[in-house]
Amino acid sequence: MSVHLSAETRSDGELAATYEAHFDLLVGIAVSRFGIDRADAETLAHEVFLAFLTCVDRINDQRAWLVSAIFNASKNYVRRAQRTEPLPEDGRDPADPRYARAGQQWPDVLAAREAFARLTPRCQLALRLRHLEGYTIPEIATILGTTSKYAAKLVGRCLDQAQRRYGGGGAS
Amino acid sequence: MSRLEEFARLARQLEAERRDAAKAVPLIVTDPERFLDEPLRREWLTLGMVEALCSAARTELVRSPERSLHIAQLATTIAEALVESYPRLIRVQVQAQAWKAMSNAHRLASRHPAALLALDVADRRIADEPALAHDRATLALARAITLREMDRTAEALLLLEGSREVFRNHRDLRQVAQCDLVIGMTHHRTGRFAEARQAFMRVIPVARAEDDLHTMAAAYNNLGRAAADAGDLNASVDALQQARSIFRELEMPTEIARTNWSIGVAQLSAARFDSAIGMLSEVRAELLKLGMPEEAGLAGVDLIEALLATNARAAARDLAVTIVEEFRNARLNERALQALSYLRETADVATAETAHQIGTYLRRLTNEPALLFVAPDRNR
Repeated sequence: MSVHLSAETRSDGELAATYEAHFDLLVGIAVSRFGIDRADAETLAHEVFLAFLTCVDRINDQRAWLVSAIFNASKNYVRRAQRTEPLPEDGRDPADPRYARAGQQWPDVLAAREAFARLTPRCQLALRLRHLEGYTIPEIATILGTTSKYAAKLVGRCLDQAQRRYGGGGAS
Repeated sequence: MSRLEEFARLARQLEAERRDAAKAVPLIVTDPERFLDEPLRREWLTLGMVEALCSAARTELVRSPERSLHIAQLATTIAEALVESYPRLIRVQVQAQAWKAMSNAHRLASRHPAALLALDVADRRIADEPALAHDRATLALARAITLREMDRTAEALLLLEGSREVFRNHRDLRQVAQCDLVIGMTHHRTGRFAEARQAFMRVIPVARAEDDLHTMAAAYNNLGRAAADAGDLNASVDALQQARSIFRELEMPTEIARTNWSIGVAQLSAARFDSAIGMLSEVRAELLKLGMPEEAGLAGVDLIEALLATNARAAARDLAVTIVEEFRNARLNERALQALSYLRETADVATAETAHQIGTYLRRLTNEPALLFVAPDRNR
């Protein structure tokens, strides 16, 4: 079986050298061609390099890839910025109401996360689809490649398992 | 820590994770479903592991879509559980890759709605990331392939044009060739043979330059089929022979048999019945030897068409009886069995056109398993 192994072809030293050699070029494109301020341009260029890191072995022409990536990223950034309303200079800056009781909620949130992390992958996936992605039982059945009846049973069983673990119960 | 230092540290970490994952993944691949029901091991919660599992899911696609699906489900769970010490951008990038791997497994098993739902999640993960245009184009290509298989060709072509442009800008020629291959297949499906042939012709030099033999063979194979459907037999056989010689080099017996099948069908279309009968008989025997009864049955229907065209009715009837039996033994689609039984029962009076219509129905049935069989009009 073949496993993706970039270490054989690109050392971290080579990657860092590529970063150093091209970073200013990418920032320059974002600043001069798209009028993006320098701090945001540097963030964009850094993100382009992060994206580059996971697919570097499939890239033939690194310079062309990086330049094209910063062009696309800058265009996207500018389009997004045009849709953003700046806050008024003298406006109030109220706290996000979701965090009003953050102090009290954190222990529960952390316990729920811990309980979720201890579930099996099948349960994590089923509960994620149901409660985080908001899919219906028939849709979950479709994604898991099973019947609606089994998907409903699975979600129910996984929820029970999570609740037991949230309450400090052992493995089921 | 400076950005350069963060980047270099991440590159080192990724190298180490990939080395560890390369040791762990072969164990998982032996029985991936088992690991879906065991708690996730903490040492597996790495980005390198997600990459390696996505790669393994890709490798398993052709051998077993089910196994590929289980591997992709494991990859997805790990990707979604990655710790926040990884930059957010990389986490969402690999999450999208894992959902795409799940989509591919569903598509290979002809579960197209599931494939699209998985791609919806993948799209949502990276929709807001300016730096991930190439990843979005990759997801769009995957969606276009799925839509094409669902006969939603107009939507597929629109996505393909957009993806091709992004890949071209990135000078990612391999992906440009993949787009052209799918564009050609989409045009072929809608009967635009000239456009299809142009697209396949664009693929060949790129695939050759990239030393990508699989894509080159696929391009020749599709070019041959499009040329046959356009009535250009010589061009068709030339292209199919090129495809066959590459598949031989790659030692892919299934694809060699399928290419020989295409050559047989091209000869049938050009009314070279004797050559077609010889070739299709060999192909059928080879497909049975390879344990592919469904495709052997379909090749058999093409063979029946050639036999009926030469008025060899007894041989056509005997073959229809054999194929019905093979389908029954292999417990294949009931509707296919119904259509083949009709062919068996009418072999004494059926025309080559009847066999052709039944072959067309059976091919559609592979993408539309609920398609009803309606007996062809014998009086036409």
